[in-house]
Amino acid sequence: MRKTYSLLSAGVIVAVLSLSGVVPAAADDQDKVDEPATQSNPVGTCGNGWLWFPQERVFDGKLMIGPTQFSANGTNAPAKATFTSTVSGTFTAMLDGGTEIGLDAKLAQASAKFGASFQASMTAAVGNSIEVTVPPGATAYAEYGIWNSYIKGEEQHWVGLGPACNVVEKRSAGMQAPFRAGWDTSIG
Amino acid sequence: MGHVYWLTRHIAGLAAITLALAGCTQVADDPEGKATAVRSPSPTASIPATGDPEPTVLRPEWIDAETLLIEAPSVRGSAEMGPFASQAGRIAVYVKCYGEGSLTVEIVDSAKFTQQCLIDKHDPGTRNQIQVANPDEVIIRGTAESSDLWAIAVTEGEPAS
Repeated sequence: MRKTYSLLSAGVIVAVLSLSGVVPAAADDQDKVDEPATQSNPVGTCGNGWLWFPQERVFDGKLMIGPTQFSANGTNAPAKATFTSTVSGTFTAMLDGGTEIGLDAKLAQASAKFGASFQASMTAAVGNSIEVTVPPGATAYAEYGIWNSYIKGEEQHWVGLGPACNVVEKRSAGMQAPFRAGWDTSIG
Repeated sequence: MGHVYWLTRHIAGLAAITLALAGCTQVADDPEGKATAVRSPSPTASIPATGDPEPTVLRPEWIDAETLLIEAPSVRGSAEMGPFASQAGRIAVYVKCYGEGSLTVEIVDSAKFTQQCLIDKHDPGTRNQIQVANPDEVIIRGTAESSDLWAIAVTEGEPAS
């Protein structure tokens, strides 16, 4: 969704706002965006510029690098199976929608909000191994890959003077970014 | 993209299970007393020939929406954690290691992997999801040289399909 209001003008000086309290409670306030209203600004000074608000980790995914490996244990005792990554691959973070705020800033914000440090790029290398204990009569499966998340967010354009701020435009702005490489094992 | 899994959403805030650490382990910065600290690492951070200065604290990181089962920051040498229970029967093991050696992590009776430590305090480390053989009594052992600093967090994994 993209909406532009007349408060924007060519002469607006764009200054990226610090997230430290300028617009602390506005990210989820969709109604006021649809009908712009003056927001109370506890910091006391408002600038003009774009902010990004990460809203939700929509899913966790795994980009599988290489084939699914497996090892069956036909014996009546536990057995060890060693799996080794044979293919390398790289997952590069992708922006979806608004690009007013750059990738590095979004990675930092998403990392602070959701815990794990998201990366601009992550490579799954050849030669990483894991040893799995396979129960008697069972099969172990192992996949090597890159764990990643899609993060739903929104860019908002704030305009204001003094203690009052308005959101005058907002854009859907998601991001898909990797956060770890590693194995995914299961027993079947 | 290949397989995409939806992780089970868990209720956050479950208390971490107390860690039982082996006697040769050094654990620093454990304000909640979950680990048995033997002694803190040297307050003087060494500076390797290349890379970042050694951090005084190394904290594990994990997706905070996942249910945390155990965590141990700033570990040197060997440590044993658990037993603890996994309701999903699969666990996600987040490991970071700073140094020039390697860290071997064993999920007893289930799996074992070795991770190269790096002279990079910003290295995010790895996440390995492992189906455990004994979900009611999961035990994890970590082994590294005392010159390497490592951290681990274990969360509930995606249930096996």
